[in-house]
Amino acid sequence: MNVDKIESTGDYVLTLSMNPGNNAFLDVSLSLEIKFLDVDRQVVAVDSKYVVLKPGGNQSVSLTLNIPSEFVPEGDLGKVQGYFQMTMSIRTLGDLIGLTQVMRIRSGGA
Amino acid sequence: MKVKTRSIIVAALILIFFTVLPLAAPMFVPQEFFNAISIQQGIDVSSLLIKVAIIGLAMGVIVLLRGMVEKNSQAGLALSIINKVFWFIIVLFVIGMGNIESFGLVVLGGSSSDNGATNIVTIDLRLIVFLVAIIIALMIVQSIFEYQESKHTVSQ
Repeated sequence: MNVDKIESTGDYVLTLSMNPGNNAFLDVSLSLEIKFLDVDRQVVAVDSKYVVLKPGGNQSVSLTLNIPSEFVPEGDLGKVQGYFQMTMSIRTLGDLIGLTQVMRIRSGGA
Repeated sequence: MKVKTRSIIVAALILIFFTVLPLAAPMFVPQEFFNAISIQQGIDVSSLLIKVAIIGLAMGVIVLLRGMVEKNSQAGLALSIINKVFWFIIVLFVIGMGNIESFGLVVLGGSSSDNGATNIVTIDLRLIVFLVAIIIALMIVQSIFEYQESKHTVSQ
């Protein structure tokens, strides 16, 4: 995970990169979504990707969140108030069976 | 009414392992353990153990009743069907991790009230439940055919 600051606007760009693989015998569809929510749990930024992993294959996935400067008090990312949410959905057998995980953590500044 | 000895022994074992032990377990395991599982996994262990005990009791009764009736009688057929439906409920119970009513769509985890952290895992095994339902339905049809065949053989 990388965090970059756009100096001109003060916005932060959060980039999540991964390279999931599929060691099984069937196609696996992977759906990823990351969100930044404010303290009222309203969506501020969101990005999602859907990839199909062939058996024995892997694929690079990159998700980006643009956190506006008004949500970063004093330009300090550690003081951001809100939630980071990640939803990961893995399905196989023609999308007939699967698993979905939703993780949400509150930022340190809240 | 004669009850087969084998049925009595099997029913007693089922009652011991699936009814008595689950009900007695909370006395031997610290409450903190149950609380930790309830918070971390979103599973109400006390409720789960009670459900296991009820299933064990029902299973024991079915085994006893099946030991009382003739296999080829109407009562035998009815008990055979009830037994198969009951096994379907057990499959739902196991796949649903204690939630029969979820029909294979298991939701685990929860939210922490302290810091708003959430971790929810949803496991979709409804296809498996659907396939098991088809198998159970076919087994019930097979039981009915076997009953009709036995009646036909007796009448000849």
